Amino acid sequence: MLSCKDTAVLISQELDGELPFRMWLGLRMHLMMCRSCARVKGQLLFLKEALRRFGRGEAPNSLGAKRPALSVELREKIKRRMRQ
Amino acid sequence: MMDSHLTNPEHWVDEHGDCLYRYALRRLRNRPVAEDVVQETFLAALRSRHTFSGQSSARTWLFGILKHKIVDQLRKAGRETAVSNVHSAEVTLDDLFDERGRPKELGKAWPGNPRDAFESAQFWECLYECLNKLPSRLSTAFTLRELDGLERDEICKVLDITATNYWVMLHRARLALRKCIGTNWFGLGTKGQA
Repeated sequence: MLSCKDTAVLISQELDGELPFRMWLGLRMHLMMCRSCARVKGQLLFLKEALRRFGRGEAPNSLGAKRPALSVELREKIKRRMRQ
Repeated sequence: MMDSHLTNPEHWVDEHGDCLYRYALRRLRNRPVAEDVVQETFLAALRSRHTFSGQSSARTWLFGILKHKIVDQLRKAGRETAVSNVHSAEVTLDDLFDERGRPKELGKAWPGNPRDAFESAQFWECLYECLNKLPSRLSTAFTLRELDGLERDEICKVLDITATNYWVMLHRARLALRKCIGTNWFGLGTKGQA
């Protein structure tokens, strides 16, 4: 029987679709019997979705209340350098 | 039909600067570095504008340049810390488990429907802060994978790490993020912990 420690990294591999089948069975068995690891897996799945949305900027105000922007000074500086 | 902004590249800065900056900021989570990367992107675009065929939009083209610059920046940051990492605790999960292989901290359920958090601006701020709290060694591999969808092989090449190291680092980062979100958003555990 695989321990929680044995299956830890397998959870991440399965999340990324990179778990060989024979190891997937061992992981499945463990998750059926271990509520703690099953919870961890569900939470990591949620975070994976959150990060996907975050990366795409799909999240409302994902970078804080004031939507970050290039400062006026920096814009001018960039344009100046581009003119040179 | 060529993008009319090609006739005046300074328009790119006004049209696309903020969008590029926010994209870089989500990944680098450091304002001065993100600003530098955006600046370098515009300068590189100017130098290579003759290669822009007009097949894609100017924004897509600029983003292509930006993405390369971000990966370069992450690679630089990752290499700087990776070299010191050879015997570091970050390449194993041993410290998280006891002698019987059970986790030192059991997984607790999150209350309610976690996906409701997606509607909340505060959740996304919390996520951003938690990403910033990740140790920088773990953060680079994690960002390249989760935000940029780079494949494992590419990441291992970029950071010069083995596949085994990669999985351990990725899993550690995911667990650290989970703990931070669990504590700071879902209210589990001791308040004030990272």
